[in-house]
Amino acid sequence: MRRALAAALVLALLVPGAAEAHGLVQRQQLPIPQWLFAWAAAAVLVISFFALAVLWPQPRLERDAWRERWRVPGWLGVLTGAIGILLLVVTILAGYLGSGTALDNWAPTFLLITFWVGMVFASILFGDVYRAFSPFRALGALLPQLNRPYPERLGRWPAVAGLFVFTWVELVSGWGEDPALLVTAALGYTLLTLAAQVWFGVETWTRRGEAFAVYFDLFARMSVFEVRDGRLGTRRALGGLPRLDDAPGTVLFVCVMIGTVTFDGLSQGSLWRDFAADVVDSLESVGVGALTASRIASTLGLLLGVALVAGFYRLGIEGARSVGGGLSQHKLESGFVHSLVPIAAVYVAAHYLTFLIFEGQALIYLSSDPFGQGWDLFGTVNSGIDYGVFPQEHTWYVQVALVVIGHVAALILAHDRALTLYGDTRLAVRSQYWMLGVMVGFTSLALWLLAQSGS
Amino acid sequence: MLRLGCLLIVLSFALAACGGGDEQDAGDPVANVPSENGIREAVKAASTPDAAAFPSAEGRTLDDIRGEVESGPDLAMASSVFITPGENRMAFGMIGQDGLPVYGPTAVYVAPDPGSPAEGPFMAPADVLLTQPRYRSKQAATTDDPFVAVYAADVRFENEGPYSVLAVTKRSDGGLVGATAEITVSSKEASPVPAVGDKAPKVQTDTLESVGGDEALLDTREPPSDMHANFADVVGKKPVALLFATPQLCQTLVCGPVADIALQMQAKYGDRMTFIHQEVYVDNDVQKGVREPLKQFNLPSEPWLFVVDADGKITARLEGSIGVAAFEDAVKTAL
Repeated sequence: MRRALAAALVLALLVPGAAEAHGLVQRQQLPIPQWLFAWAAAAVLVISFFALAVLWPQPRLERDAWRERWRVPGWLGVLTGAIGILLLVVTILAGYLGSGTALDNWAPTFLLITFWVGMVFASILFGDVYRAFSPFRALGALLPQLNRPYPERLGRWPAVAGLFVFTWVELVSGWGEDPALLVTAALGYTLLTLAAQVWFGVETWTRRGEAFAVYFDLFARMSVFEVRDGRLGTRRALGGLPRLDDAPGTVLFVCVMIGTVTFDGLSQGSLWRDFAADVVDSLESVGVGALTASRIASTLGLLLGVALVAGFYRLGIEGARSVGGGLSQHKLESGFVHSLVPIAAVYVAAHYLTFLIFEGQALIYLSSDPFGQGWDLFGTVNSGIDYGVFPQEHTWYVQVALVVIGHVAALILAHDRALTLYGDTRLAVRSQYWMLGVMVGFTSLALWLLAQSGS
Repeated sequence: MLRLGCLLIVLSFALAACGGGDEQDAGDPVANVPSENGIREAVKAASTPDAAAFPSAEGRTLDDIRGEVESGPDLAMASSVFITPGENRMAFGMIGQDGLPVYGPTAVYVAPDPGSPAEGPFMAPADVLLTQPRYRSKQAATTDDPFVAVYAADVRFENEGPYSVLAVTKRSDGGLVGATAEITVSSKEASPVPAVGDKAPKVQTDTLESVGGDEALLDTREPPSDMHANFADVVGKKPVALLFATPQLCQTLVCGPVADIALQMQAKYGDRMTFIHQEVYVDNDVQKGVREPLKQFNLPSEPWLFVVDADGKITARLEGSIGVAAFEDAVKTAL
């Protein structure tokens, strides 16, 4: 077993080379080949690892360092909630009343770009913004709450299901091309959420079952801002992650966060497209329609992405276990899962940055006429997408920088937690050899996936 | 109070959403042309040429008229198929010696050869190639191509065979500049491309289903459009605008923006007409030849637009560079 794990770790460390073989496509404007970026990124991680081992002998992030800065007035919460409800209503109406063309309809742009991607950046920068603007929490406050006991064994599993279904809708279903269908799904989710909030209570469901609340809360834990009991305070960057509780389903939730983006990146490359074409051909030969076959292939790809990430993490945990310390697999798995959140963040940031910057601008003209009625509410209906706002030749550098920063952050979190869990610096560092392998693997995977879009 | 205010905002949106519903007005396409360096003004003047500004062809040869104008620009033909009898849309650009387009009131003259009596002037108004900004693809929005409009004249040819063409543009200083080109006119019967009045071939155009769910094969536009219904399923039931174009593999403003114009037209006429965009090359690989629907339409070039009425009959056919006005006029022929 140990030999197999060691072999796997060596394989992970070799991923930059393997990735090159799988199609890291050199972009002409780059001064050095992309595979060299992958090796440089891996080198940064290795150097960071040894720097941590020497310079970070005591846990620092585990201690709660939140400091109150400002009391949030009660009316602000009402206002943000009302804005959230307004945006939800506008989005649902736009889906039904606006153009049937997704590119010309507010709803897909707002849901799949502004909300889904933009909120990740907002959460990392400003804290749990979604909690403030959540239309579900605002509506839930207006409804009765039965506060029935929430089965602890359910943990975050409802959120896992919700997140996976949403990513399936986004990446596989094709509903994003049909604004009415997309907002029908949003309406369904709204009703389901409101019902669950009535049954279990708003706070309980927000913390455990509401997929978006759980999703954005995890990213918000990276922020220096946090609101507690109506008071805005500051803390260390990443400081909210060590306080993440180990509710059942949390590990898989984080794996879904990373795995679905992994599939999205993979699906844009020739490797997946060729494979998917073979799957579609095979299914067609047994009478399955091509579109259905394609969606089956993509669903399998989505599951494969999640399984790949979960398997990779499990490998790191098994390795950490093998160094001793008497810690159970569950203890290690739930103990280190928070360190994967910065990786999820940079996967999203690197993969969707230009998507948000460019396609997200569509909201400027769509907001002037959200229902496609010929209005010009804000005088912006004749604007377009300015592709000059972000120099595209710099995209790759920004992506690489984000990937490296995110993985170094993950190493720091894992190292800090290991010091707490093992209580012995040498043992903690030894356990982190395995996490280093995981991080290098995730870094290489991230860069390879980004390169896939050009292959 | 605050909650009431927010509720009122929501209701006002909802109520406003229930009203209206008029067609979105695309406005004057010239407004989409950048105003820098006087280009917009030049295109505006070029979009309404006046026959009185050009020499009469009465009793004169093409060479006679050419002798009255300065030479300098080159004439770049943007359409290649001309037939007789019937009216032909002759699309072209005037390119100055600096490589930049020349915009001004323009007309064309034609004759079987330069020494023969000329016919004309046929007015060639400039037709803007730029859509409203929101409908521009990434390709169109990031191109450095300086062409913002194309000239197009409706010309009738008496006979088959070679023809000489003289395009004359009036400069802002009042002077006339001209350039010539050669074309070949075929009989309607000899041209294999379906013509106006013909039944449109019931071709199976690509859909997400037919390309196995691989959107990259379906559309090279960035971002891809949703104009990918199967022509065979809708023809004869509803008017159709069928566009053969490849935005990625023809990135110049000559053919790239045509799919964008189609998208803009779909926003305006989509409730009455189905808009279909068919990519040109197999697997979007030029080396693999053209896709089956183009073969069935016998298309020798791209892009082509066929507008088909609800009975399945072709009511308009445009080849090459197509501006916003020409596209919209073509759409209207089937409504």
